[in-house]
Amino acid sequence: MRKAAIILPVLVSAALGCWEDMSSYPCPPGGTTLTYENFGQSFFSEWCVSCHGGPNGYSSRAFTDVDSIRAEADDIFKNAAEDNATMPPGPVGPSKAQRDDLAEWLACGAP
Amino acid sequence: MLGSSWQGDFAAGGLVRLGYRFARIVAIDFVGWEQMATVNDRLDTGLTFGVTGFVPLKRVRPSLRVFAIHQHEEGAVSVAQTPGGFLFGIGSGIRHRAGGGLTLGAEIPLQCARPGELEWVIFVELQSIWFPPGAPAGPSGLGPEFYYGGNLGIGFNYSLPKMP
Repeated sequence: MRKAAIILPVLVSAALGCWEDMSSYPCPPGGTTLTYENFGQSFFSEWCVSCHGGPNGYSSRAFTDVDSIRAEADDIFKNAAEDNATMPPGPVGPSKAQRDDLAEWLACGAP
Repeated sequence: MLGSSWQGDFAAGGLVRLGYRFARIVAIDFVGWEQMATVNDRLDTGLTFGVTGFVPLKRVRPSLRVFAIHQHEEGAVSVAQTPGGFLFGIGSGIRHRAGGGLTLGAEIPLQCARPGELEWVIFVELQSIWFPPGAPAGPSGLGPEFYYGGNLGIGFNYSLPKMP
């Protein structure tokens, strides 16, 4: 029974596939031109803060300022950057180019 | 289930059912399932409680089930970060949803059984589920508003022997 409790989630995780994490996406050698002001703020406003706008019934995580985004950068990357598309929920989401920009911005420390 | 009101969303999985039937006509029952869905690489954990009415015919027993549902919709990352916990809705990024549904089906006995014996059956069903649109939301809300599809399974009934 204990083995099943360990093996089942592993099998489910494997069946669901895997994802890219931030360590696989280094910041470009020249850095990035993306900033919170010219990219991050509008990206998060458009796609995230309707649920992640503060403690509410949907999420305890708020992505309304750059410090809170930096604190959760690794998890945000796994869920929404590059080829990861777990968030936001639904078939309508950021374009691949926007997700690539998010990956670069997060990998460079979300300046 | 087969699909949802989200474009390009398809799902498949397995379910378990446990219930108590009164006078072969009405049952109170629990049905739970785990299914994988295409959009968001997500896993859906459905927990339903309902009432099922049967037409107690000899060879085929048509049925109609009305149920309430609580469903967890969890992305692959949530599942991996909380191994085991996702089954109980524990973990970050898990969306909890409540709704209702209808199942129209038929139960087909595979043999005659007397009280005290197992009666093996197969069942086929069509099912639809509705979740009220959540208040928040991004372009797609917390999840699909409708799910629809079918179930196919095997199980057994056990008639309690009458007391002497």
